[in-house]
Amino acid sequence: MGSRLYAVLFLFYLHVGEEQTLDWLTEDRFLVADAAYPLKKWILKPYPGRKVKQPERTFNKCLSRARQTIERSFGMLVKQWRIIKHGLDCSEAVNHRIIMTCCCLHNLIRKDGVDYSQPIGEEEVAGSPINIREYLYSKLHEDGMLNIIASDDAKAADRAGRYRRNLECDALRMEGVFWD
Amino acid sequence: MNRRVLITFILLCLQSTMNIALLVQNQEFLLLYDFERRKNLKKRARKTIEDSLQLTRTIVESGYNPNMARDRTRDKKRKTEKMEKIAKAEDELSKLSDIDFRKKYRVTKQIFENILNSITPLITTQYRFGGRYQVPARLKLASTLRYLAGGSYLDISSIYSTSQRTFYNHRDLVMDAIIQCFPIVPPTRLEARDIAENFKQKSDLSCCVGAIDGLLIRVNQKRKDDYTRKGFPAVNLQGIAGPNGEFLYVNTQCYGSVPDGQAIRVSCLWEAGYMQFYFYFTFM
Repeated sequence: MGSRLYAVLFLFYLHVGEEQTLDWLTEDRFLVADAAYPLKKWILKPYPGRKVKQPERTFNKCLSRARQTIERSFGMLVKQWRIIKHGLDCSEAVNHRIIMTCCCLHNLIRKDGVDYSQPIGEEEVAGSPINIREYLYSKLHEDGMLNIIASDDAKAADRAGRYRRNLECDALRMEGVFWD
Repeated sequence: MNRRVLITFILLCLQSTMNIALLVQNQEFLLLYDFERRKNLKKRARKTIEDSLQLTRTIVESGYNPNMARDRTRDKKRKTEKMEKIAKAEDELSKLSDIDFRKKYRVTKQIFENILNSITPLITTQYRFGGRYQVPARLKLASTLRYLAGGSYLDISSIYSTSQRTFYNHRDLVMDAIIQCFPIVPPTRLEARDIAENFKQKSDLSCCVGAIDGLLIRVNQKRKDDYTRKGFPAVNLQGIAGPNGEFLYVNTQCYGSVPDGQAIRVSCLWEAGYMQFYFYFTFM
């Protein structure tokens, strides 16, 4: 573990490999996952259980807010490219390629910036009914309440994140386990 | 045949100390192989001769040669019909309105053109044989997009006037081209910084560079490993999404029976995550 040569060789091996994931997952950066994944320094998952106290609870909220992106993108993938929903009935290699092409096309659509939130084929009706939730939010925004809430939340989240990471580091140090 | 080969190999292994013996054995083995092949060739030749005799007999009896009497005019007629069908399909494609186009192919016209421009050299063949027509690249791409959007192969092959086998060939070609031209590349260090900022605006978490999750996709293979905990055979798709919902990383190595926590251990992400510790211990 300590030898530099081995580390350099390993780096080279990763660099040569097809998927170069080293560049963006370094230092203190992390991924967000749900409860099914293992807890690591670079994978953060929510605190388990229903009765979670305040700093952890806001942290969980933030995590789920970040996790929305992947859930939404999977939903879009399944809804747009219907073959994934119906099921794939080809050989294994072709199935793999179908999934990859669907993901590539999804990326292309996302990069183009087309608004797919509105349903296809339905024109906008002038004078649509007011969304109550939006209205309330706008009221709150006018009063300046929302900003305060958001800033408070952000502070709490930062605190919780630091807290959680310190906890993790402590646990790792206590057990002396780095490899599993 | 197999038994003979095995015996000769065993003999080779036993007598490997003596080079001369080895050579002799080798020659013998080659001779045996040659003998077998000749026997097969003879059998095949006899079969072809019998076939030709049968053909001559039928010609004499009925006065009709199926190989020679090919109706060229009928071929030409069929060809022109196909060309007309292709032209019609292209015409319909160009006449579609924007909304209908998006309904059918799930992309806007502009994105369609962009994809087409970048993959046409990979799809089209460089030369044509004799009088053969070629399905235009536009229709190849349209048929594959329609297939991915949920169309059945039977309907597609009838609409674009191709046989089912050729449709599958086109699909494979186009899918390879798309994967080659627009690959899913993990972001660089600088791009990751922007991603982290976007995530911070979204969720107030600093230094978050992606959200990871698994999706089970139904497949036809029905081995024991393919069955998930939900009861159907599937493939486990591991994906990492950025702040705008685009994929940064996609992996489909695992069967459906593999849980998410195990699936990430297989991918190269696991090693990359541990590289943090490597850096810490070796260079600091």
